[in-house]
Amino acid sequence: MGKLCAVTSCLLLTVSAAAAQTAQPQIERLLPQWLTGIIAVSAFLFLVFVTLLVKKAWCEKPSRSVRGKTNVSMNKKKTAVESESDRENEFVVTNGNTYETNLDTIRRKSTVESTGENEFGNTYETTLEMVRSKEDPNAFDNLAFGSADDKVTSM
Amino acid sequence: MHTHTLSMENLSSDKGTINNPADIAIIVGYFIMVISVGIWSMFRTNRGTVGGYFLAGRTMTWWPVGASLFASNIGSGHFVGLAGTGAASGIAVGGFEWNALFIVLLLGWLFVPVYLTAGVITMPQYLKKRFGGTRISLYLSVISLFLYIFTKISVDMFSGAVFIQQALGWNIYVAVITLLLITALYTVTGGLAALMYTDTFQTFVIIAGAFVLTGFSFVQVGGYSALLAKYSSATPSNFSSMDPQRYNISPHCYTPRQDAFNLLRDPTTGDLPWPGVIFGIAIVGGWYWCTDQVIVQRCLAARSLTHVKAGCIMCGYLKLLPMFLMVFPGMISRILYPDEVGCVVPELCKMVCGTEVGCSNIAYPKLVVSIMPNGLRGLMLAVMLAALMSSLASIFNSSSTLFTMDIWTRIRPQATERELIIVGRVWVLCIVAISICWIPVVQAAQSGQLFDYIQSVSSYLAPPIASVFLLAVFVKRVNEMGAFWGLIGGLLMGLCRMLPEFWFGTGSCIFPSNCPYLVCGVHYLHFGIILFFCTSVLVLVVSYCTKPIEDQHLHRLVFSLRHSKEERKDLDWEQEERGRRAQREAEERIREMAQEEAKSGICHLVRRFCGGGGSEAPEQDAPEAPEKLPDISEDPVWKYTVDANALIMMTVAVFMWGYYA
Repeated sequence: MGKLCAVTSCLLLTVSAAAAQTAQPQIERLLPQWLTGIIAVSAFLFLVFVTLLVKKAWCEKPSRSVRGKTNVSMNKKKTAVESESDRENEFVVTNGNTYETNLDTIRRKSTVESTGENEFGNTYETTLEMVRSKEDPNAFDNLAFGSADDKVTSM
Repeated sequence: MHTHTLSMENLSSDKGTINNPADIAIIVGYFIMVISVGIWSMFRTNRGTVGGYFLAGRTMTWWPVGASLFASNIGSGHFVGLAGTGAASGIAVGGFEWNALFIVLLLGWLFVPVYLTAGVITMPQYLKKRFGGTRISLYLSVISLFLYIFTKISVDMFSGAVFIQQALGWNIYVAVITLLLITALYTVTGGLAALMYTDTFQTFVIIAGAFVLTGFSFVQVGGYSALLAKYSSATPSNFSSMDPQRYNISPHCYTPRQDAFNLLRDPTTGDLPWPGVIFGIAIVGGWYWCTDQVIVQRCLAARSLTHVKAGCIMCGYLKLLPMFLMVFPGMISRILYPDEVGCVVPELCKMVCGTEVGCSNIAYPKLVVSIMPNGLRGLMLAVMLAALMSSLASIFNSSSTLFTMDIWTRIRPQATERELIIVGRVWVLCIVAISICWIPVVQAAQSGQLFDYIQSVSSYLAPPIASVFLLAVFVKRVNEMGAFWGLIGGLLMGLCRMLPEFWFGTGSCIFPSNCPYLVCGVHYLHFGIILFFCTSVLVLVVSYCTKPIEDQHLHRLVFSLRHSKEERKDLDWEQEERGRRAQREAEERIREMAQEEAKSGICHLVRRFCGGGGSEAPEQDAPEAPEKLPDISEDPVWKYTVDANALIMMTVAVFMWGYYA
């Protein structure tokens, strides 16, 4: 798709150049070459950025019917960083044993790659929003220690 | 033909051929290195099994994979064809190379994961598992072998011949036969492992030598800006017709193109229109890089998916180079020798290079002969030999894989592993013989536009295959009927264009061909795009009208199911089972016989040399599917590294396209 944008910008160039083509030794360029290169690169990076956003948004939407069937095996749980949202999932994945007991609190929807269970319906909410502490907007509850422990460190 | 030999002697006497000690020492040294790398790699892998011989035991790291991808792709055809077309029409031909940067990423990220989990060795095997039935895989094997012989082998050998004749003045048959025998030697004995390691060495030689030549040529012409300035005035001094009754030479036949330094050219009047360059080459590239046995086999030999991806990125970076190492020197060659490389009068051209159509093909050999000092000329010859041998060896190995695993196992399902390996080796020798017999045909059909010829034949025959593979991997609904009729329909459409065009001939600027506009009017790249879409539509229409394939047959055969761990009921299960049973019975019989015969010393030596280990092999065959699933999981750290690197490479590629557009 980056190519398409590069192409449209170059189409402008070639169309104008073709129109201006008379007896000149070379096609006159509207913009210096390095500038067209930079424009193409920026268009490409923008498209990549947009694609990443779209992918992230699409992954977070409740799309059980699509996600339930595919992906992940149990033995990949420990190092399971298949998704881009590494940051969000890390803290729940690190200690597999303690995590298991708290599943009910966050059992809601799917980011399948981040969790161990993969059966249809057993999907989990793993964004940080679920564990955001009520006292301080910048603090998060540490699920691994369970609700009995009141220690909360502000980050 | 006698004028041809006359011109050869003229060239060799006044330019100096490779007959001094420095050059000869380098060439001999090169051959010794190649053979020793081949022998060393023989001891590293077990070549006694099918997996060891055809897939290098799946142990290759990323750098042999990347280097082998590059060296298998770059053949002497690239040196001669890219430089020649660059001399004739400018840098747009480099678009063929730079398009591959993106396609090779498609290969590593989208296609190879599916091929790996499918657990196949050849591409027809993949189609057989995916669709069931035997006709599609048979069709693909036959047409792949056909395409190898008519496009890749013939072009590489023709270019090698051009170079040898221009630079050395050797007898073409002696030179080619020696080359082929040396190539066959390490291909036959070493299998894929030997090929990939020698390819790595040959990649170094190719790049080093080509850099040296590029340096010299830029120095000779006066720098990059001098190239830009002087190219447009590189016209020959003789451009008036010698026989005005027969033909007249219009100025646009010998004047360099005005859009010579543009990658993207006018869609109607350009010789390489920009929609064709972007989409048409992508489609043909999709066939070449993502569905063709030669390239995919190297990826399947890697030890993990991360290594495949890293190898693909390395190959992508290397593919940035041919524009600078081959196309620009070709243009410099035209600037420095406009009367030879840029000759336009047919009689003069025939004296210079033996063809009336044009002499742009001699652009690169001319540079090698004229501006390289002693010793370095030997290096350049080693470069050309490296390119030629690496490509030919890869094609030989892959075609023998195709023939052995797809055609021979159909003829004799009870073939043991040892028999398959022997058949693979014998086929390489057969195809060497075919290539030698092909030399006179290629010489007789000397056309001026070499690169154009391969690309146009590929554009007529490859898009249906690319379309079927793309749909097979991504669309579960596509079934056997759809794929088969799509392939047949696409083949017929392609032949409708290809046969008349060959019949009427492509012609030249002075003598244009009288091919009717209806057939030849559409540019071959645009035709490729149209063919691709028509085939896809046909495949989808027929598939939706017939029964779908159930999911249980498709696990790990399509992209969306590539991670599924469920049991797959193979569509070709019965066939495989019959084959396995026959194989086991045959091996039982052999083992009984082997215990009786006495092992002589010579027998033992020959068996060791050929990588025999036939008696240990069968045990691993029996427990087939469940344990042997190739793993496509990736270590997350490396996954991110590799993904980021791919993004960087794409950014560089986009910048280069934008710069030269």
